[in-house]
Amino acid sequence: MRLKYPCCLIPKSYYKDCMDMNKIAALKRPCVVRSSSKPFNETFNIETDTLREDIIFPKEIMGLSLNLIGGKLHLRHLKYRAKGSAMKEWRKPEKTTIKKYQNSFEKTKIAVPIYFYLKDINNKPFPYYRTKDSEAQKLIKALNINPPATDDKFIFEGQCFVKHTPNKINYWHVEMFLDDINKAEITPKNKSVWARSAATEAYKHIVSGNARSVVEKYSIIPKAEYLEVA
Amino acid sequence: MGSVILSDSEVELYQSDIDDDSLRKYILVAAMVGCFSEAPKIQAATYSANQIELKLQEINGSFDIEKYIDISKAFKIQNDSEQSVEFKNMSIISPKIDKEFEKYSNYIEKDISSAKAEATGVAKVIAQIKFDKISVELTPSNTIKFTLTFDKEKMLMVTYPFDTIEGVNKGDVVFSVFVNRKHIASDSMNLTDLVAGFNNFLSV
Repeated sequence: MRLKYPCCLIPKSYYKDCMDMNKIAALKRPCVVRSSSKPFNETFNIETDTLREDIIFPKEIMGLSLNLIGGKLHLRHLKYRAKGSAMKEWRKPEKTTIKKYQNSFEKTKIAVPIYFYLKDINNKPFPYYRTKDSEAQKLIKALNINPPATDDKFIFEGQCFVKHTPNKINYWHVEMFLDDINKAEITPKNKSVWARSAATEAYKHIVSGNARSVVEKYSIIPKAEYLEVA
Repeated sequence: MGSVILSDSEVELYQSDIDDDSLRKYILVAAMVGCFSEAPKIQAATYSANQIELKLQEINGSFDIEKYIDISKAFKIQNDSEQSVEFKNMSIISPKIDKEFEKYSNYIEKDISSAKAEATGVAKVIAQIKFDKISVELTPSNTIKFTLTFDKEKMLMVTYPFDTIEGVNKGDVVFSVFVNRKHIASDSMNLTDLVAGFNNFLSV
């Protein structure tokens, strides 16, 4: 049987290429959400309303998939997940139809929402540690900074931010990214010790305390933020 | 039932005018560390990194107190209210540890029974904190994480690694403190010091 996909999520040619997440973050309570395919009591520690660490791993937060709610995406849509070619980036003015991606999405049985207020995770600094090697010394010289340090490591400040990354069948898809002190993206491909430390510290400082199982309210996204001509 | 926590490194002889109730506890402790041949009834004893904790039944009335005043100045006798907090908290934490080990022991990269004993030792120190709610989880990083909440505002996360990890001394824990979900501090340190420090923080 063919699965039906909620067409309201599909990017439209009259949508903006990319929403400005800083403008959206300036709304009262903008919210992003990730879904867990595990039951609620295996997703959250119920007593303390905190996310279990086996639901989002620290190394996953570089490029962590999230969805902006308050526009056309509603909680009932969290069961739908793009896969394969549908996960590729959508660029205006491309017209997409679900017919083309009929085999590129799935519907999960369980979709427990994990909420983050955008303000809690966007443009948030976090510390990370880098061994006092020649590369780190070069960076310090180039940036003309004097970072705090331990005996053998410098303490740098990275930045966590959220970027709008619509895919072929979900305009409301956003991702979490980490930048290093030089404003360069830290990617999962970077296997260095300091990059791993950055992911762990960002997880500790930003993700673990801010994941919520419920939110009281969230902002409606004004049409001006996503329609090309409001 | 009483509870005594002592440093196992500073045993010395000492005579005191402490009240009888405390004295009996001291003697039970001293008995446990080998000062006496006649060990009174000892219900349970567990060992953690720097401490020995004894859970004791009431001493036998015929025990000759005068003969055995042989104890450490370093013994820290907890008052009754602290004891009741610790025991009450352990009654909350222990079933959670059991449940996690039943369900997620595949995350642990060492002998499960020794990991569980370590986890229980850590829990007994954490139980000295007066929390409102607590959750316990085994994580895929081969750690056990305790999350404690206080007054709906403060939150403490304590992670104990079952194996050594870079930047953390063996036996230490990694902790994070949040106020209104905002991260305010993280570090790694000795658990006993953390508990003492955090109790001070809560009392401010």
